[in-house]
Amino acid sequence: MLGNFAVGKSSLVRRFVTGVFDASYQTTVGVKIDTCEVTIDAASSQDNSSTEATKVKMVLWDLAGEAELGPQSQMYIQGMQGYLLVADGSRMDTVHNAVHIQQQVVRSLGPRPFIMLLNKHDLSEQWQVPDSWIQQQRDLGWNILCTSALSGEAVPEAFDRLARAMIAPTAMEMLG
Amino acid sequence: MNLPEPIQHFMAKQIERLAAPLCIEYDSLFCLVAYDGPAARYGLEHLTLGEILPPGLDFLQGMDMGEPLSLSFVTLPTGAIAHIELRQAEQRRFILLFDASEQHRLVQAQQQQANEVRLLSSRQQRTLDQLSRANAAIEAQRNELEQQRNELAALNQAQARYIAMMSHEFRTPLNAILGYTDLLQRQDDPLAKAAQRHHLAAIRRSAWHLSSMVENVLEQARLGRDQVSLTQEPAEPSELVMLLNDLFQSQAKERDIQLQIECDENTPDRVMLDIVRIRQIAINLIGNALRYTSQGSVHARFSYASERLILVVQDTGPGIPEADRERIFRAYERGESAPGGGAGLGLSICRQLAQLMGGNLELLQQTNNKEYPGACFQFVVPAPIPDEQPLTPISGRVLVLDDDPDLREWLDIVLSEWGLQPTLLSGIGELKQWLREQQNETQHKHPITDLPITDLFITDYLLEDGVGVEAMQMVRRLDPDIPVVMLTGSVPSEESVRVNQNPNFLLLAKPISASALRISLGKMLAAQQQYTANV
Ligand SMILES: Nc1nc2c(ncn2[C@@H]2O[C@H](COP(=O)(O)OP(=O)(O)OP(=O)(O)O)[C@@H](O)[C@H]2O)c(=O)[nH]1
Ligand SMILES: [Mg+2]
Repeated sequence: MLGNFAVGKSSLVRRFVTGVFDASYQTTVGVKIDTCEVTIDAASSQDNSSTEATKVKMVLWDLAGEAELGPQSQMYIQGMQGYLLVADGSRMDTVHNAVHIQQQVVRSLGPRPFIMLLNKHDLSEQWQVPDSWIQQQRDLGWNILCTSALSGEAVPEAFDRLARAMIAPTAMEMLG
Repeated sequence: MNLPEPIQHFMAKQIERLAAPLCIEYDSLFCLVAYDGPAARYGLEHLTLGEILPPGLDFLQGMDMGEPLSLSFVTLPTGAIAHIELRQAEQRRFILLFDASEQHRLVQAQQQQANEVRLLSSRQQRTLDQLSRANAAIEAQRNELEQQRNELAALNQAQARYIAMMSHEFRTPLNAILGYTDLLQRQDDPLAKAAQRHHLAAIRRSAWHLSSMVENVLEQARLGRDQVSLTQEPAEPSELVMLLNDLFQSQAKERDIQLQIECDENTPDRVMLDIVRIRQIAINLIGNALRYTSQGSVHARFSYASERLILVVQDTGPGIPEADRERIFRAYERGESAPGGGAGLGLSICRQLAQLMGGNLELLQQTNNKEYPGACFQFVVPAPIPDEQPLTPISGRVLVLDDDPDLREWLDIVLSEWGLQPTLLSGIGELKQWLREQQNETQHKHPITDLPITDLFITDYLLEDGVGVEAMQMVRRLDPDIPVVMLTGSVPSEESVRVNQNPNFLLLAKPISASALRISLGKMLAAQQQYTANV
């Protein structure tokens, strides 16, 4: 989980793993490890030959938020096979931070599958990301979802998409 | 440093107590080889030799062990918090864990506070931005309102003054007209011809004065709405001089002021002008000069230079004080020293019109004559020489539709003089009747004749029972090519200006100049004959 502080990385993990949301803010120090399992049903799996559902076990590294990856975070991302790039849609600066972080990842690891999450989509009145910006990034091949850890909007979908991308990354999702 | 054994022992105990180091050795398949330390402290009670890394550590599977790796503040799935070091030595792999829970607590508190402050200040900044944007908008709106209010107040004041002046101004010539008409009516004595001429001149003067004031008011309204449309037609400056003399000489004589209106010899006989506007400006300038001069003379002189007509009007009145030199050109304002009435609109309109026509109106420097400083205005307007062919004779039938009997009669006279055959109608009703008759006649008498019902149609723009456009459509329904001249006394609407582009259509503003009408009719009839000849 990469992105600036308080964008909702921990909340997204908590929503996905335990199904709950906590409005209070507890900043993450260092990294918090969690595991989860995502089931990708055969019908929609990219691997058409398999008829069974595929189970993907993911180890989630929920990092402390930073505007850009510092030396410690560079350590944490060693061995990373995919990531959710999280920004707070009500703080445009965190969106720009995310773009920068993605570039840093490419520079130190090379391209890795990722999904960008514009979180806190429930805060529609304070939403700052113009549709034109989203479209422009999508045109570049970015996979972008508007999520809400509060309402649960698109949260399972985010992890599901990431799992698929990590199993069989398309050129787009590897993009860097 | 060579430490005594008890010290070494003490230090080892302390490190164990504070950092609780746990050392795990594993092989390339991530199977446990050996371990040493308080595994339970990290929630790793069930470490079994020879087996794969337990759930609490399995996140390290797949880590590339080529380089030593330091991971500080790792919260394990077991809930324990550790600094983790991955090391390789002598071909053996080790995971070293050090308890970090106490340190984590401290750092967490610090980082929590720092992040919350940053969040708050960014939220505050956003609120401040919104507030200052809202403030700016309110401020702008307030300024605009304030300005509008001031403008309105000033305009109201000026307008009130203006209306007071105007009502006086309108009444004076009206009284004269009414008075002299009464006199003329009572004059039975055929010998009283001279007196009658004098009365008629007075009536004419007053009527012109009234008419020019009405023109002024209308012109100001048009200027205010950007609706002025200017024309250029051949006109004779000497004719204008004659009219002006007619209008003003007797008035000057009565007041014992020497008035001279003349035209330089170098002025061409005919120049292209918007003669109605030029007349309006000249009447304003000379009228003003006479009004402000109580003794001495007024001298108005037309001259011509580089395709421009110049009118200089010099009087021996009190002159314009330095402070008023610009103010007198603003709407509704006039110099403080104005004696009695006088609509302030005059000079402002004159200057605006002059500039619209590509010319200008200026107040020239005063003379040094202390006794009669006087004012001297110079009006300049572009006036090219027309390239005119001599008038060709015209003939044909003309249908005239106007509800004003005087105008109808006048048109009857001039059209007949020019060799045309006018048919006079007074309204839409009559026009309908006439058109019906024409149709019947055509059917009964000459069923296959192609002769148009008329060669030209002259209609008033505004009739008592309809509008000229309607009449034009009725006539053109029968014959779409009939040329139409529309006479208008009102501000031309956008619609009429649009149709004005049509060569088969002409909009003429009242008062109508006979010469302009003659020239236009000549052109339209010639074009029409050309057209029918071609068809
Ligand atoms: N309204 C709303 N609030 C959210 C959402 N997701 C997270 N939050 C709130 O945002 C704050 C930060 O959430 P976290 O999940 O702790 O953010 P984080 O990215 O893990 O922050 P760091 O650990 O400091 O990097 C908390 O108060 C959450 O309750 C969301 O989708 N909608
Ligand atoms: Mg967090």
